[in-house]
Amino acid sequence: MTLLKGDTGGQVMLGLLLAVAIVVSVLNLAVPEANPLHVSTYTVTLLGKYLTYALLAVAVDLVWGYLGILSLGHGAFFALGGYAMGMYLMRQIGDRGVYGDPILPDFMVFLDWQELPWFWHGFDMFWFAALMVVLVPGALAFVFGWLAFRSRVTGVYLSIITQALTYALMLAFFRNEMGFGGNNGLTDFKDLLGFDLQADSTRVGLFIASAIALALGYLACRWIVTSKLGRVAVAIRDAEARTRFIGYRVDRVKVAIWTFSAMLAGIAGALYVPQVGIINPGEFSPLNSIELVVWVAVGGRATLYGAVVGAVVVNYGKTYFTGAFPEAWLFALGGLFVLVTLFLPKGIAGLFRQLKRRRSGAMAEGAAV
Amino acid sequence: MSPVADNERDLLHRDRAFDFSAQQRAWVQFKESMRRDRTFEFLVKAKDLELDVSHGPILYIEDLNVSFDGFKAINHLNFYVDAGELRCVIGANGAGKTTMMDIITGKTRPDSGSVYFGQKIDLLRLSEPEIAEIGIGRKFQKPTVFEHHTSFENLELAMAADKRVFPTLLARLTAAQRERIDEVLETIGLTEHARREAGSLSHGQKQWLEIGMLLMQDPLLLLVDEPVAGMTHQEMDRTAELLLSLQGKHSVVVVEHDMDFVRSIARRVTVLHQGSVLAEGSMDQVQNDPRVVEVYLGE
Repeated sequence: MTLLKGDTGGQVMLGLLLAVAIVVSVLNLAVPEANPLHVSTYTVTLLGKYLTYALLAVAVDLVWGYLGILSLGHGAFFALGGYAMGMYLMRQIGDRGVYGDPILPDFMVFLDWQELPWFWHGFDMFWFAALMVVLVPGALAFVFGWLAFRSRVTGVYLSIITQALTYALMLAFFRNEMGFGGNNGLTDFKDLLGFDLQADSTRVGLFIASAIALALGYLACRWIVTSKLGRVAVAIRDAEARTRFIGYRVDRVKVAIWTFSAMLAGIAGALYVPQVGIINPGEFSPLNSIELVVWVAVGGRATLYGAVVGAVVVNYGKTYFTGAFPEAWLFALGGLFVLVTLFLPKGIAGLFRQLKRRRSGAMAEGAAV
Repeated sequence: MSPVADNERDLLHRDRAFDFSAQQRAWVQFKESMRRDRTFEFLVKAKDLELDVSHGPILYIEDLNVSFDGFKAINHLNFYVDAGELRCVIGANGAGKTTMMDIITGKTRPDSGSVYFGQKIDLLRLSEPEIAEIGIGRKFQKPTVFEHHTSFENLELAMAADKRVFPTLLARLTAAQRERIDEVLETIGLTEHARREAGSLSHGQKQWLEIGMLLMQDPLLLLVDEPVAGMTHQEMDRTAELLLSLQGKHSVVVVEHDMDFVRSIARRVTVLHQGSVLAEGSMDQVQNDPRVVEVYLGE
């Protein structure tokens, strides 16, 4: 556990995560519904969704906070991972679809397609889909990063290209001819690895899987940022030319970390889809990618655990506001971003750190007296 | 230095004793290439050759010319630095000091002339990173350190090591490396500040840290551009000590404007003027040279 040495925030976050995962699971499965302590399956799924968002935020914080790459298109990798999982879930429906075709998903029958497009082959096998969940976002990120970082595109220009990337993908996935269900996307899923997606136990299982993925993803990122490579990444963030000058291949470091981050985002997307039950091109929308940058900013850049906190807090706020005042949500989000930038430039994590310092300062004073 | 003496140096260096005519030079080159112990040397990449300083100098610059849009920045420059020497280079703005450093480090390509590192390594055939790799380090005028890393981490990052992605990810500091970093911290006088963020160091300390980062790369030749610009007198004295402590182990070329500082460190001073060497010798010799007084010191 040397990975978490000196990372109080991370220790608390992982501890809480473990506690919540256990308590919520038990309260949902073991406590009868009539009991006031019962946690509804709806809540379990909602929490599971937050956890996948948190994993996505950690992936963004890795490249933004530690490498200085502001990605406004990370939602694309999330959505691609989601689509890979969605394709597996579609193939699992089999002949239980509306049209009852054993091979073709409903939307293909509706479009009068005669056979499965080549890129849908293999998705009936879970291992293949699981591989694609990381490989497809990873390959896209690798090619994109290789082209962008080798030509030394940085700063605002890079952010704009990432935004364009996700926008282009959104437009492409909206087209029926792409073979991903057009604007309806993929939905109507039945089961995953033979488990009924509507069952409480499956929901709890997905929630726990999300918690485990978040914990492992967090530890993996923590491993990277505490390694020498992590220090090189921060050096690139702070003085890129200087880092190149002392002998590091900056473009390769960037491509490697960027690709890893995209893979994490893909895993988050794959866990998100079976819990919300749908994936459509809206997930590629630039607004999503911008929103997730806000989560990281609210939580606190370059802390990793701050990204988790930010993702959960902002999304809880979103759930509450969109329920209570549907029109006000976007204003609340915008206001939140402005307030955080003005008063909490280091996010919630920065606030924690400040409080801690003040307390230890007060203690030191007390000791002096 | 008279042209005759210059020529003599030329003869002594780099086995050019028979360099009297183009034909003869070709013949010498042919004989060289036929030497059984180095028949295939032209196939060896220049950076893989060993550094050979058996004749004294570590750096040979001969008959170098560069012009930018007709302006001769470097004009028939001959310049030699001995191994282990601390050399100061002075000269008015536009005298060609920075251009010379740019050529040595591979940033600028000359129009003609030769630049050799030791007797064998032709620097003009190498790229910037390759030149850094064979042991020529350069400190730029403006200090740039990694502000959010501690002094220790700054040195760790600069340390000569396998700098590819995966080896870096898996790198662990060995006891020897830790010792080396501590040693350099000691040399640059930042031992107490090892755990402090470099961004909070003073201007002088940042300059030293940057020299330390150069040292971590184990360079044989250090090119230091205006190390005391913006320093207080105390910091200047400390820098002088630091640079003096490096000579012997490393060869150091310091470009500086501050005359007091140059006087405090220099054994030999080279005065550049309009792209070539105007005078060379001890500080006193140089200062009393009427030509130098005329173009530089006397103004």
